[in-house]
Parts: sequence; structure tokens; C-alpha cells
Amino acid sequence: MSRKNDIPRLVVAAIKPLIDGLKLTLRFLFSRPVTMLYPYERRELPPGYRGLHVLKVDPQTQEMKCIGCTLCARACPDHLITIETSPGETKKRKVDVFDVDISRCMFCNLCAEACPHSALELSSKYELAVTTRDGLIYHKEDLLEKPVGAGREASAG
Amino acid sequence: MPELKTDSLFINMGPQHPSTHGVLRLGLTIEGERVVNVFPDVGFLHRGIEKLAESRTYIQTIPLTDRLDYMSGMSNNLAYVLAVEKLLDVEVPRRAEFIRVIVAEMSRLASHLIWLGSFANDLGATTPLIYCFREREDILDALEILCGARMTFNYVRFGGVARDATPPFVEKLRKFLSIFDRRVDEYEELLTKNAIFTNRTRGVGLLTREEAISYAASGPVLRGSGVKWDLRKDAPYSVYPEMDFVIPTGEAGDAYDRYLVRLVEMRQAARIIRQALDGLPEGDFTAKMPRVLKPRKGEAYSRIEAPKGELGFYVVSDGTANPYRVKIRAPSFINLATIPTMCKGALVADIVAVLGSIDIVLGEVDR
Amino acid sequence: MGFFESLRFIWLFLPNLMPREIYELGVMAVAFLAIVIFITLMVLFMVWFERKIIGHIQVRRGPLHTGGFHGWAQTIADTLKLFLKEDIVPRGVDRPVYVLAPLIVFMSTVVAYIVIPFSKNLVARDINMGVLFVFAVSSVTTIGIFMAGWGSNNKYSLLGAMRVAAQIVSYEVPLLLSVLGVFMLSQTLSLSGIVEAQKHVWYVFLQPVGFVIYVIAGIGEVNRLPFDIPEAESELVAGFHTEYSGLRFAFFFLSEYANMFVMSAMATVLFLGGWHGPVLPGFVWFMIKAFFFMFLMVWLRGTYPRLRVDQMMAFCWKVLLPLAFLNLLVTGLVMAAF
Repeated sequence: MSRKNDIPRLVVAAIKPLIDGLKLTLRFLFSRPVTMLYPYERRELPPGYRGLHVLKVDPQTQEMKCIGCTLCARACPDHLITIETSPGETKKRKVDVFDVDISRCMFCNLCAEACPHSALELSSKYELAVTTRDGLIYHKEDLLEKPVGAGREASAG
Repeated sequence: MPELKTDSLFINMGPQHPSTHGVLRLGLTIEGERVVNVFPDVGFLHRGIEKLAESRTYIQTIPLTDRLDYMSGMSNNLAYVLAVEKLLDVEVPRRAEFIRVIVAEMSRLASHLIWLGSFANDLGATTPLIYCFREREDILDALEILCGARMTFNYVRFGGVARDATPPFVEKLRKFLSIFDRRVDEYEELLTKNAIFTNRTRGVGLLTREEAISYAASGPVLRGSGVKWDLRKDAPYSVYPEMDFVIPTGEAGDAYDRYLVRLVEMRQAARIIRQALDGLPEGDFTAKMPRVLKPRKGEAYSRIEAPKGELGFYVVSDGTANPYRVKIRAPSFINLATIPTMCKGALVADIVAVLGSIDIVLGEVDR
Repeated sequence: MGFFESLRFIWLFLPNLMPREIYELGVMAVAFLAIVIFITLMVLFMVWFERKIIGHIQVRRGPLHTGGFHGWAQTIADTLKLFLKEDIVPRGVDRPVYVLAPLIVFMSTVVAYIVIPFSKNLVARDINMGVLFVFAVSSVTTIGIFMAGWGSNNKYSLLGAMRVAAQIVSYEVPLLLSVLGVFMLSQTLSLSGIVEAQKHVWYVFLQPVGFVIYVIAGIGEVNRLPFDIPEAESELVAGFHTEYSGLRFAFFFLSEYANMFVMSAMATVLFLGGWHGPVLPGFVWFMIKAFFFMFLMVWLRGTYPRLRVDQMMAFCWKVLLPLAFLNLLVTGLVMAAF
């Protein structure tokens, strides 16, 4: 007797979830998509996002805060920061070369954390594609903090 | 009637294949439609992480560990940091411990969501993949607020964590948790009782209790076979003893049981995160650590319940700033060894389902 | 006489102006052109429609930019791309077989459109055994698929082609059995006749089980999810059309969607009353009903995982076939009683 009752129950148990699945997808069919129309819309990045490096500038003196202590270069796991200094006019050493090679950089933030003066930070720039290999090596002038984030265009060489 | 003599055929599945979750080569020996043997050939993603760690300092190795199981970076960080902290004698503040638990469980959620999406996708249902990624976006957005990165976190550090958990992070996480349970219900509605899905996964990829234990399987693979073993309860670390959660187990040890186990784990992970957020104490997010770390000479092994299983780090220190040896016990590598047993007598189309249900990530398998 | 009336007069007078054969040839040419243009436009729309619907089911958008408004020109762009691809003929293929396969698949699908009644007078040729014609002609696609698998000089293509052939042939049996119930009710095999016979009540209400069997078997015939194991990329065997690229592949692609439409059109004609409907012209009703089935196939594709080969076959022979026989038995008994 119970076997006869089983068959309709089994059939319903097999078919109902199939219909429920269809109802779910139909509901999503008429709901708003969650995608964002990049590049017309861009995400707002939180503060503290780890993007391109930036050399902070003291707002009063308009000079960069970096003193060339090379702690960041020593903290980098892949040795991608090159720093060269020379004696400056004042007691502070002058930083001649500050190159960051982002072709292998993993934006791990160890360099910024190592800096004792908060002179090096990671900014929110993430659109870093260029068409030349040399374009991936950022020099001191490109890394200095600018009032409007312009960054480096794809330039020749 | 004379016996029909058949020959077995050796086919390669991979290394380029849409369903092998990365660069994995499976050598299949098949007779007709039945699989006789599966031979996993790994090493295509080997990057020498263990060797690289020997030429870097302890802190510089943490970003390397992010790239093991790249679906759940925080878990790898945590396992490594716990191992080295055994050689450091440092007291981790309670707030940092709670934050560590929160991010570890968030990584568990992220990893299981990707697993669910790609498992359904391999079986033909393309929509759960996109839904799971929608959830993952919320988790990654929260982690982005917390530490600035979405996949390679470099966040759990010796003595605590790198940055503090700010109110925006807590707010975003709570908003996510409020909708998450309903989302898991949606996935269940699409898949769990679906007759096509159960037909593809029930009875497929059987792994008995004894086999699972003898293969040293861990994580959902072990629990799906009925063994109630979870390091968060059986060898607890951090503040897990203060959290209230259940450990799911399966009965039959097939792909369907492993699927159910992971679904329950997702719900439990959300539960743990809620408890940790409610109990988050005030305080420091890290202890004071010297700039150059020189752990004492010795060896230490620590293991955590990563989303894929037991992730262990064995660190040998010789007193200098660089580790002498870092050995990684990767769960996916060990679990992958169960594939020949699971695929005995299966059809070719089942291999994809079995591989998906083990949940491997090649970054871990090959290191 | 006004302008349109004079046109109509010429149209009706035309047969008298020329020998019968040339008139017939002219009509055939016009009908063929109309069918091919209709298929092209329908496929263009259908591919875009499918991508948009699947996109929105997956809470994303699908094509958006090509051509401006929601990417309506996406299919045109894709087809153009396929046209411009290099025509690669792999080494060692059986050349005549390899070249003819896509054409056979395409033409056998197109020929089925001849008898489909789009509206009261919009039939290319109303054969009095229309249903038999449609199914017989669509079966020729199996030959084309098998030729593609054989001619490709690739053992995985051959395996895939054999699977597809087995699937199509198996699913034809419950398909035709479910249609037999409709014959018993309509007493005619002509498609226009069947539509006429549904003037008062659609056959979906008289033959609900037959309808369900027809739809499921139809999806199996067309190789759509959940029965699309042969074309799944996540499977080991790559499929019968691996070695085809460019225009040849475009033919396979085109014929898949054309075949889908044939199944949908037959479902409308046999069960949903064809072009019957209030207020709107018959052609519009027909398209609405046929596109409902196309939408159903897209909807199913967005929802379900796919069946394994043996499960698919087991489902066909152990579930659909007995149900179809049962349906036939019950229909016969009920008809004998009244």
C-alpha cells in the first residue's frame, strides 16, 4: 500500500524544486543588474587602498618628506626601490634618485610601513597600464604627490 | 561466445582545461566510458615559494603565503604567523585575536563561495557562479576597507594584525551578514534538491571513512566521509574556543555530502563572524615588535583549519633574520591524492564533478 | 482603381501572364527567399535575446554597447567576425564529407520551414502530410552531424558526433509518440488542418501530458540545456564541430537556432492553436507563442545543470517513452468512449 503512495510523492518531490529554481531565476531576470558600467562609472576606493606609490610632500615647505634613509628599499621583498642620495645644502640629505619598479611590485605595503616619517605611501591609483617596459619604472618626479591625480601618461621611453 | 577483447585508452585531461581549476593534468585510463585509473600530474604552477622564503626575512615571507591558496589569503597568513609566533614568545592582544578570527572566517566564506560557483558551473549551471561572485564582491569590498587589498592581503602579522578594524569595516561586514543567510537559501533553492544536480552528485566520488583517514584527507573531504574532525574544535587556536558553532559531517562520503558540508560551513562561518563582531574588544591591534625579527633557534609547526583542510607550516629557524626552512603542508595537495580512489568505476563525465567536490586550488597543490 | 487595388489585381492576374511552370518557380523562389531572410533575422535576434536574458538572469547586463541601444548589433558583429575568419581545412579530412556536412545540417533545417503555417495564408506549401514531412526532414540533420564528426579526422569529434546522433535519434521516439495523440484528435496530418481543428479549444488542454512530453523531448532534440552534453566545454570530448571555424561554424550555429525555432513552431502549431488569437493578426500571435518556447529554452539554460549522457538516455527511454505510450493509450480509450 505504501508503495502506491510513494510514487506521486516522489514525483512531486522531484518536480517542485525544479519549478522553484525556475521561479528564482525569473525573479532575478526582472531585478537590477549588480554590474557597474566601467569606464563610465568608477568605484569609490576606500582610504588606505594599496595602489601606486606616492612621495608625500610637506604642505608648508613644499618639499618631500623623504630623507633618503633607505629603510623602504631594505624592506621591499623584491628589492624594487632604488635610492641614491648626496649631501644637501642643509643638514638634510638630498635624494637624487628614487626609482620604484612596479613591473614586479606586489603592492604589499611593506615599504610604506617601514618608512619612519610617513613619507612613502600607497595611493589609490590602480590604472597603471602602459605600453612600454620603461613606463613601469617610476622616478622621483612621477611619484611626488600632486594636487590632482594625473599620473604618468603612456609616453615614449 | 568469445570474450570481447577491449583495450584501455590513455587520455590527457589538461593542463589546459576549463574544469580542472587551474593547470592540472589528469591522465585518465579509460575503457569505453568507464575510468580505470586517474593519475594527477602536478607541478605546472610551482613557483618555489618554500625556497624563496629562505632568502627573505620573516616579514617578507608573509606576502608569499598570500599566494598559496589565493582564494582565501588570510588563512595562509594566519597559519604562517602562528607557526613563527611559537618561536617568538609574543603576546597577541585580544582585539587582534578577534580580528584574526573574523578575517579567517571571511576567507572561509570567500573560498567556499568560489568553490560553489565553479562546482555548479562545471556541472552546467552557469548562474550560481555569478551569484556567488556577487557575494564575494561584498566580502572583498569589506577586506579592501580593512587592509587595502582584495586578494593578496599581507595583513596578519607577528604580534597582531597590520591595521585596525575601523567602524566602516564593521558596518560593511554587518550589512553583508544581514543578507547572507538569505543568499545561501537562494543557492540551496537552485541546487540542493534539484533532481539533475542530485543525480550528478549522489553516489559519485565515494570515499569511505577508513580511506579518508588513511589518505590523511582533511577539511570537508574528511568530514563528508563521516569523520567529525575540525581543528577549530579538536586542536583549537586563537579565540575559537570562545566561539559557538557546529561541525557538519556527511554520511555517504560522496560529492553530494561534501557539497552539503560546505554549505553548512558557510552558514557557520557567518555565525562565527557575527559572534566575533559582537564580542570585539577594545585595545591594541598589535603588540610592540622589533623592527628586525630574529626568532630563537628551533622548530615550530602550527596548523589551522583552512577552508580546504588542514593547512600546516613547519618553520625551522637558525636564529638569523631569514628562516632556515619553511615547509608547507598544503591540504589540496594531500586531498588530491584521493582522486584515484574516488574515481574508481566512475564515468568520464563524473571526474569533473569529483574534482570539483574535492575543491583544490593549484596554488596550494604546487606551491 | 486605387494604387493598392491595382497591385492586388496584378498579383491575382499574374498566373495568366506566363507559363504555369515559370509562375510556380517564381513563387518558390520568393518563398525560399522569404524563409531564408526570416531565418537570418530570427537567428540574429535570438542570439542577442539569449545573451541578454541569460545576462539578466545572472544579474549582469549582456551585450550593451555594440550598435548603441543595448548592443542589438552584437550578433551582426559576431557573424561578420566569423565571415572574416580564415577558412582552415585540417589536414587529412575527408574533404567532400567535411565540406558538405554543415550545408546538409543547415538545409535540412531550412526545408522544414516550408510547411509551417505562420498565419492563415502564410504557408509556403501546405502539404497534406505536413507533420510527417517536418520530422522526416529534420532527421536528416543527424546525417549531417555524423558527417561532420567523421569528416573531421579527429577521434574525439567522432565520439561526440556519435553521442549527438544517439541523443537525437532516441529523443525522436517520444517526440513522435506524443504527437500521435494530436493526430488522433485532429484526424489530419496537414499543419494548417491541425491549426484549423483547434479553432474552439487548443490541444494543450486536451493533451497536457503529450504537451509536456513534446516540450521535453523537443529540448532533447535540439541539444539545449539540460540535454546539451555533446556541446559542453567542460566535458572531455570536444564535440563534433571542433574542427570547423569561420563560415562553416557559422552554419552549424545558425542551424542550431533555426532548429530551435522549428521545434517551437511545431509546439505552437500542434498544441497552442497556431495563429489563433483575438484582436491581433495571426502572424503576431504565432510569433508570440513560438517565442514563448524560445524564451523557455533560454530560461532553462540559465537555471539547470546538465545531465550526464547515460542519465539523459535513461530518462528518455525509461521515463518519457512509457509516459508517451500511456498518453496514447488514455487518449485512445477516451476517444473510443465518446
